[in-house]
Amino acid sequence: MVTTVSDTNDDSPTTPFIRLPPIKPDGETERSEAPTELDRPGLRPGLDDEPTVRMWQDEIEDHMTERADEEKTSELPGLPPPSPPSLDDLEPEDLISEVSMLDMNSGLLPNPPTDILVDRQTSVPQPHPAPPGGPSPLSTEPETEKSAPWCRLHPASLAVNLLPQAWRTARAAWPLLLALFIGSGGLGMGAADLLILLVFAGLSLWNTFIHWITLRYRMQGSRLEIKSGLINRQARTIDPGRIQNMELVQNLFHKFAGLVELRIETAGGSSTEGLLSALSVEEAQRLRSHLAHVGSLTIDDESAAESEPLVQLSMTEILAYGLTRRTIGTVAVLTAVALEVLSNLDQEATSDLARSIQPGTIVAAFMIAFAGSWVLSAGASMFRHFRFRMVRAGDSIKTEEGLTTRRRVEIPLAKVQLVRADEPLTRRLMGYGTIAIETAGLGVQDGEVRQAEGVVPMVDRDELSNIIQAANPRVQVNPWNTTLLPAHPRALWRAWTAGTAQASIIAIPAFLFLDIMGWLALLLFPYTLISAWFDWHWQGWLVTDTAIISRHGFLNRQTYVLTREKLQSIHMVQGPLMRLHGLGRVVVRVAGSQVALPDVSKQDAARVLADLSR
Amino acid sequence: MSGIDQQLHPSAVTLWRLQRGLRLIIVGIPMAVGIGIGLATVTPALVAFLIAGMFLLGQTVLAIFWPALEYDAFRYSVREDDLLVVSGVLFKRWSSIPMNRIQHVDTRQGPIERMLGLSRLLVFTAAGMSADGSIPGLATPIAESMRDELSRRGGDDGV
Repeated sequence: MVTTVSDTNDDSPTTPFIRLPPIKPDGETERSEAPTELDRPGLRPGLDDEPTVRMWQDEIEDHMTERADEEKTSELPGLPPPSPPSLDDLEPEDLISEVSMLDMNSGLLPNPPTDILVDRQTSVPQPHPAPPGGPSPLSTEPETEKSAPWCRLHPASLAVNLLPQAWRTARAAWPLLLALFIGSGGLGMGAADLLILLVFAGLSLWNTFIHWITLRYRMQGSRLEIKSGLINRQARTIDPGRIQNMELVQNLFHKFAGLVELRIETAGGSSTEGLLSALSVEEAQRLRSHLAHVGSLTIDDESAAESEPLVQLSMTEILAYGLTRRTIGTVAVLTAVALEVLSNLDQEATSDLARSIQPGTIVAAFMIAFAGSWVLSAGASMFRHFRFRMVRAGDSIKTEEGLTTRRRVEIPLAKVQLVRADEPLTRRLMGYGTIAIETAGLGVQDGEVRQAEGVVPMVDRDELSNIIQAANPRVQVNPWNTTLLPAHPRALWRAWTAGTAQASIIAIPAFLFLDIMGWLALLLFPYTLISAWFDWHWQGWLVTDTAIISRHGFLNRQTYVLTREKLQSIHMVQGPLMRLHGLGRVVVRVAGSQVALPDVSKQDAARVLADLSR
Repeated sequence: MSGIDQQLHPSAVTLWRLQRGLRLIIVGIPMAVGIGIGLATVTPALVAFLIAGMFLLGQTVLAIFWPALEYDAFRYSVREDDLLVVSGVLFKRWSSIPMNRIQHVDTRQGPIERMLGLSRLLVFTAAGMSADGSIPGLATPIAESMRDELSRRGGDDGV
């Protein structure tokens, strides 16, 4: 793998370097991928200390440097293959390395699967003798500079990123911009305002520039190294086995320039750990196929189209998704903005308006705001999820979506921590639900931290369970046709007590100090009681040999599905009210999230705790 | 839940009392003064003084008696497959951390803890939100041997 990155091929991506007759791809990839997986400390005890091994290793390394060019061309999926059937040849090979890596990653095999390697070594003519346990086990370690040069981002990416970055900054700072706009009377721009704007734009563009000018990356052995920064320099090494998910994003600008943005998420941290913005499509695919630690990574559309998609959304379904999203928040914001703009436009007209306003007008305004936010939401989801499709490729799940900005997300199945099905009432009535697949990686998207890496917007109710099992094969139970265990009857009393206490904090002062609104506040009590009953009645849970299911909520029903093997810790909690009612609540944690089961009797909770902690 | 037999070092009660006492001085007293002054603007000064005094008295009583209750409620046990920690007086919590999910184990000591010869044991998993299991007020040698033993037993992290 070290030698496969000999140079970036931005300038001449279509020229294959063939000096020698094409070599069987088995030889290449075996040398470059499989052995490097053996490099993890502890897997090859003692090898480092033997001088003979080091000698071999040097020889092999020299040899590999020679052949770097052919290796590169034969591994580029996007290029016309130098030898006609090279892609086909790669497939069984990929499969083998996939098997070995899977086993090593999951820790199922105590030893590296040397038999596979040995098999392939004997089948491929080897110019140099390979030490047992892998042909070039040491090639990844310190002596790196000579074999793996640093690569830069694509030269065009600066120009391509400037405009979207400026837009993103403007969108993140929109309250400020709005304030400036309104504060200056809508039209005239004061010098100070302009200065602030310029500073903002300058900062965002500066970051883009620094990212582009200072970022260097390379494949060092099986690992990806990224260094960047002008004043605070940082270097980061990403182990492919630790990648939680990988995302390829291509907006319109990228598309025209033939570029793509690569985002790599590892566990923990609230930012994208590996951001390469942007690479040429070929380079991104090359990197990606190197980093593929599980599953075969054929990202070209032909092969993705061949496999049967798990989900494919029609325009109607995407529109319906947009229309069933929660919109009250948007309405509130829109109304506030409208009022603000209105009051700034013309003081007298507004006060006239305020005098002549009728209750009917308010209702109408709200209806219009609702309709507007619906249209906005539908439009946004159209842009975001256009032509959504999800396929299972090897041992990973891939989604692809987007109108102007295409996103391809890949999640290795082994990294799935938790799957959640959201069924808001409206969507439920239409017979649909939404699936969110979570890994331990936390990503930042459009300025906010998001948890779910794979979201399937609209899934037919009958398909929900299939999608969950596709994302998490160890879940061998369908929450929709299995009777879940109910919450304990006394849990309702607890919810009522707690709800009443909470409601009275708001309602009693409101009743005492306000007149008409105070009476309205009393409605909070029946509302609390009724909604608590609905929530309680539809709760459910189940603990099987492999899976844990927890369901909550009526208006927005959420079903959490996770597997035992991913549990990090198990807790049982009991507050004073729960103790009064003899209840207990089990809370399980996986990497990145925690899920509470419905309240059950203390004995049941203790049993579940004991069962899960075994 | 059988076999949850280990208790903290008895000095833990002293530790918690001192900690609460310190918090009373640093936070509690200024708060009481604030409450008193605030109430004095709407009620007679005497009432305000009484309420602030009650608040302070309540905090003091809590600082004296609560740690003993907490001590009684706290149990832990290193079992074959997991570490079980039971804590809490009003809000009880049973936490089970499987041995093979332990990422790393810390022992920490503040100045008061050092004075009393105590250590805190913090057990981290990949859940990553905070220390999943935390055992305060262990005798330092016990905490250190537990740290060494627990961190030896790691395994597949499930991430």
